Amino acid sequence: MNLHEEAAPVQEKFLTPGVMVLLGVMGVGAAFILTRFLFGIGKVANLNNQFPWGIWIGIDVASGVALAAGGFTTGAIAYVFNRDQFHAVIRPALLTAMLGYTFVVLGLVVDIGRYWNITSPVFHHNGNSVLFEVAMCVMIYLHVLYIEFIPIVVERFKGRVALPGPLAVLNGPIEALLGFADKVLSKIMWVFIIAGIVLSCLHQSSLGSLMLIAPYKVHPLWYTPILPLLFLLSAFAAGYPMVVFESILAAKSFDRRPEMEVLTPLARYMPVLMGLYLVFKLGDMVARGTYVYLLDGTYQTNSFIVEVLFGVIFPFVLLLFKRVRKSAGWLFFASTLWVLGILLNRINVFVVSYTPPYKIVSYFPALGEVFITAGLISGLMFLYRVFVFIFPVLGKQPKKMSPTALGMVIVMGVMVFNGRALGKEMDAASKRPMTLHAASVPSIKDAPKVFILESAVIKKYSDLYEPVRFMHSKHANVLGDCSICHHRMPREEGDTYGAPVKMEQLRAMKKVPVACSVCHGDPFNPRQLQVPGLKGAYHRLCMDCHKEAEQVPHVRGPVLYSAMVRGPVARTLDTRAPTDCLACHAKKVPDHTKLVTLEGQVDAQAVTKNCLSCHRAEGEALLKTSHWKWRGPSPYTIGHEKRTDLGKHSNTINNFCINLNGNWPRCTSCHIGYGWKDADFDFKDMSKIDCLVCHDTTGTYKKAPAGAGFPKKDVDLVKVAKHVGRPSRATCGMNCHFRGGGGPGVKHGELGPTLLMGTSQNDVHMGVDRKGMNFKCQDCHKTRNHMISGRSISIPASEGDLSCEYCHTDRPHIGADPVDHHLNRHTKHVACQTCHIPLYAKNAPTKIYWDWSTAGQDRKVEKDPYDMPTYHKKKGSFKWKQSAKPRYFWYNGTVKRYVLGDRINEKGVTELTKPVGSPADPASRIYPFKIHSGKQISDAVYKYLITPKLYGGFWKHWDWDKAARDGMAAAGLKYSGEYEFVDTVMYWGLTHEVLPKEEALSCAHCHRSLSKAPYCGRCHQEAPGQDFKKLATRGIDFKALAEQGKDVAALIGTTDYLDFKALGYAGDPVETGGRFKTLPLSRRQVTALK
Amino acid sequence: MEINRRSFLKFSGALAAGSALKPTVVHGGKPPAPPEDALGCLVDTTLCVGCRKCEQACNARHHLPKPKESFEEMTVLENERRMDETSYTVVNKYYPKQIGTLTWRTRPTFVKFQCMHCNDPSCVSACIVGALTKQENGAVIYDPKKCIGCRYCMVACPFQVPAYEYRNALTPQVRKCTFCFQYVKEGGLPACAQVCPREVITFGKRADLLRLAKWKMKSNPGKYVDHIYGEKEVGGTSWLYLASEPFESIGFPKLGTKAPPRLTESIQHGLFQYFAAPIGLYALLGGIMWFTGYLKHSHRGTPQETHEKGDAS
Repeated sequence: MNLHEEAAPVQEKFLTPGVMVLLGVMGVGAAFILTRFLFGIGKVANLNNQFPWGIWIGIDVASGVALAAGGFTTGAIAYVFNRDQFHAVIRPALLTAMLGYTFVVLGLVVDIGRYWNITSPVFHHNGNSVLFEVAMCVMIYLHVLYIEFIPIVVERFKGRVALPGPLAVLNGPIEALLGFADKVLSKIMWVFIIAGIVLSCLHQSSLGSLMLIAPYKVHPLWYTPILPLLFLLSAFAAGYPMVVFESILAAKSFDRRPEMEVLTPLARYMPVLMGLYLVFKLGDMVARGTYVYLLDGTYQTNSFIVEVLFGVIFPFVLLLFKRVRKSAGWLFFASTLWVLGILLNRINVFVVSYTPPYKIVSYFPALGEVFITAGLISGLMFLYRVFVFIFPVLGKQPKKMSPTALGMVIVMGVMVFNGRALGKEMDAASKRPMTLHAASVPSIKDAPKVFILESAVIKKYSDLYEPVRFMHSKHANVLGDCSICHHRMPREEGDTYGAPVKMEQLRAMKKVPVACSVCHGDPFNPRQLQVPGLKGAYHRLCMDCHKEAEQVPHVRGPVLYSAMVRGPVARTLDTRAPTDCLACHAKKVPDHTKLVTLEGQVDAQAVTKNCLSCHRAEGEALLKTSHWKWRGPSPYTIGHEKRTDLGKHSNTINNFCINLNGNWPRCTSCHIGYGWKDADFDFKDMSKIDCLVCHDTTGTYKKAPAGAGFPKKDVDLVKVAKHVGRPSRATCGMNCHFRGGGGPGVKHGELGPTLLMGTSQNDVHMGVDRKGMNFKCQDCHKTRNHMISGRSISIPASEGDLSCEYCHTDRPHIGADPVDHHLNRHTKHVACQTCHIPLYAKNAPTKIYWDWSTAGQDRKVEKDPYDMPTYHKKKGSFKWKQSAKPRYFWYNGTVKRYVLGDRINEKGVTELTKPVGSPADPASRIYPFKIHSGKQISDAVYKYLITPKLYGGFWKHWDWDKAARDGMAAAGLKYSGEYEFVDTVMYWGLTHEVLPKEEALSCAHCHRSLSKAPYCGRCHQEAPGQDFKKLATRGIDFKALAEQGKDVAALIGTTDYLDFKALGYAGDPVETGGRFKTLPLSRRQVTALK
Repeated sequence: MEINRRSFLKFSGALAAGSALKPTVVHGGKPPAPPEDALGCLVDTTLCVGCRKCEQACNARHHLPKPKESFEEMTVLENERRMDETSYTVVNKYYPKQIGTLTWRTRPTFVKFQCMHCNDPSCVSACIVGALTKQENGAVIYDPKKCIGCRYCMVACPFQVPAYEYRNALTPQVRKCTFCFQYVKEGGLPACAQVCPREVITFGKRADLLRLAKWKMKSNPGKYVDHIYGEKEVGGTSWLYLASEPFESIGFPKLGTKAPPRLTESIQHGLFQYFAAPIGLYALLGGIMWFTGYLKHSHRGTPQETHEKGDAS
């Protein structure tokens, strides 16, 4: 074969303005390419998970390959069909194809993510993959193109090899090599030429098959099983228009005559090939009926119409005319239209038609994609110019041809499918023991109280949360039907599904329902897939009711009467079942021994910083809490509802240690921060948070008594930090709230160290004995973002309500007992606490009186019967009381509060806090309170309470006047110079030391009418086996308590425990009627009847 | 150019051009039968409450980056999300399009999405290097060592599952649910199925799961729409879904029963069976080249040669 055509290197000025533009575009493209390789595709491209392929594939690769078709189509006509007149366009077309495919590969290197692995397909083959075939063909074809180009290189250098300097020794061998190549290649070149055509046919069509794998993503206008055929036909048809386009463009730019003597004959084939493509394309559309989309107006349809009308039909019709084929201008126009049509077609197929099923963001090429594409095309054109200047490509009398061709090459391999045998099968069904309890008749009354739903089966699979404390008896009570949960009963050994259970059945069979774990064990037991595992069973059952959307708003009716959820605006307590994970579970704290990156001796703030490195959000949340700020919104304080600054931080005062102002380092040793030693403490500095005081689990963390919140020196902070966990009674209680007021049990009568490990006789919720429930504080005081629900009368701030009714509803008595009906009717008027906290400070005394006026004297300290000191030089004289009887008042949830600067009550006792309520207010209920009386310093002229500087003040110099002066200066209040001591009183609500029902007040304790015969017989007929006396009098036994050494001797035999007259009743309401209505058989009515 | 190899003549007559050029659909592409004990998961969307624990467990097991919003943040459910390179599974919330009179109809449906692990996966068929493979236990897993990052798997996937690390400059990977392949192989459970509090996801043999699904539909008349998504979609998937709402309204694409690889593999294997088509085309072109060259050199040829030309084409 004779490849030595009449061609020569171009000899003209190389750098023209056009070339400079090319270089510029290349430079911009190169910058983007560099960015892509340094920072990833995402930095320069808009490609995303919905649109994995963009214009890099659509233009650089697919269009590039299609438009490089000039190479094989001219090869076919010139060599296979031996039409010699077309030899003139062979070399330019070949160079275009070679460079085009080279740049396709470069484009791919940019596009594929792991470009360094581009040879992978050579070693790993997947014969099923269309892409593999395309890549292999392109790779081989690229090499074929290089081989086909060798003769041009030989022609240029044969006999002219003259390497400079030391390389001159190679001249001989290279010359020999060129000679050999010349000799051999001319004989076997036909092998490569045909191979090139075959390879082109294969991958041109397969490029179309690429998108066939995505039938649901490609728009039906383009998606057709004959897409590969259409691609092949369009590539055939694209070859000659591309040659014409290049040739005329080059001629124009080199200011030469277009080679119409070659191009016009070439153009004769164009309409034939185009027509064939058009027939198939339109035929396919008709056959598949996709023309229905044509008028739907979407951008995809419009793009299709433009493609077919202007890119296919219009040029086809034009080229049918001889005049068009003969005119350089018209021919160029028609060819360009066709080329653009093919370009649009490929973009349409790969980009426009692509509709991801979940389109969250749409795709439009980014600047980076556009410039990289433009840069590659410019690079190709530039290299083409370099080649035609070096090698004999263009005709001697330069006809010209030129620019674009792109190509693609990917690499491939046939993959070896190493089916790996799966190891083990799933475990065989684990056998579950089946136990049937033969026991008493199942009764809701006997339902076990609390279950901790903990199981090794569950733990094995998941340990994100701590087990649920399931209030079994409460649920039994609310549901009233065991069979709702205990829904199946195994029929026999090996029964995997069980028989449905009904309540009557249970009763008839006298069988206690089987536990959940009898049927439900490991999940996904292949023998009983329909039976959920234990965890699944629990959650499905619980969440069938505990779900937001479908819940009956109030399982047991709205709770209207709890003062603990009331405020200025009456609200309804939402007793819906909790629906989020944390309402039932506590999150498990991961082991921090590795997470805490501290060693050796560290200071407290270093620990906090370490905590914050992970828990920054928690730190930020904590800065907003009242535990941190010691102040907060006070919606329940009368007259201060809208304020947010009330708190011990500055403006509330008590009759214990009085006030914070001037006393910081001592008082703030209870603050959850480090270094609040004066008024300038920075409340925005997270590193000052004391995480450990709440999250210590070792019990070794202690704050220094006057250290402004810093821990004692001997605490091993690293050890504590490595063992952090959820707060507990030890942290909340022992570190702070059990010791409020400067010692155990001083302030809160019902909160003291006895609750740390007390029994149910101390508190039924916190007791650690069998009957107790071992609650942590936060089991009730639910916490969100470090805001802790619950409130106290003594503190104005509130971060969420808390009431017994949240769990127990306002009909808490189960109904299995004859008196439950009456007890449940109490809940509108009497708080749970009233009966269930019959005594406070039951086991250890609490302070009930504090006289500051006697402080400063050197007196002999005497002990009271509880072995408590009744005098302290620094503090004055006290009174203590153990097992104290509460005082009862109406309370609707709002509080009157003395705020610093308020005038004192000159006529009597100044009330620092007082519950608000009255029998006439339906929202008020009777609550129990501890009363703490005091005598404290006050300004004798201005008539307001004084905040003395005690720490470092009075306690040093024993001078009240100086202490008052310094303290009031710190508080920013005027001090007249004269002081006096006035009586004050504080009311402390009682909510802890809740006793079980057996230890609550009995009916007879309050209702005189029920403390004597006929007891319930006033209204009821005694049934056999019933004992009205027992019913009316069962409850706390003061006699027994007194024998145990409690100070309750005075209470034995009391009735009218609440003091009804003091509460505003005429007498015992059973006899005189309730606050809003009379009872049917009350004395008044009975009298009237007489 | 001359060809004097007579051997081409023999071939060129024997092969028809059409068969070589046109990709023909032959019966070579039979779907690979799923292994008998292939595993799968049945998701009962009526049970899901959208707690996102599966996302959390998946994240932890695969050591994926911590998300911006914590897994306790439920407001993220208000937007439809898709899996990405940092999350192999997501839960979406779909409100019923029509709010009927029945209360249960107003309830949103939560749907967990992840790789469906198709029986005849498009991604596996598409992958140029076989980096994605269908395992005997049903899992479709990914081997980054082979991958070149072409993202053809993402184009191919009918469920739009594989995600890509576009921000990784050097070693980006395709990311998708692994079916916890290593764990399952050793007898463990997929993280999501293991953690799911309500056992929304039942893990087991696919055949058993289909039975379970049918049992559920039968024993809860009216609860489910009469369709097990994944039973037949694109040739069947390892993950199966039950729902009380039409699947199209809860984020599932409507797909046919034929697996897309059947078409492409038929074309490919038809074209390359015994390399007949390429060799035939090669022979044909060689023949034409020889013949036209012969005509050129014999100065317009003889009637006999014209006859041969006709034979050749």
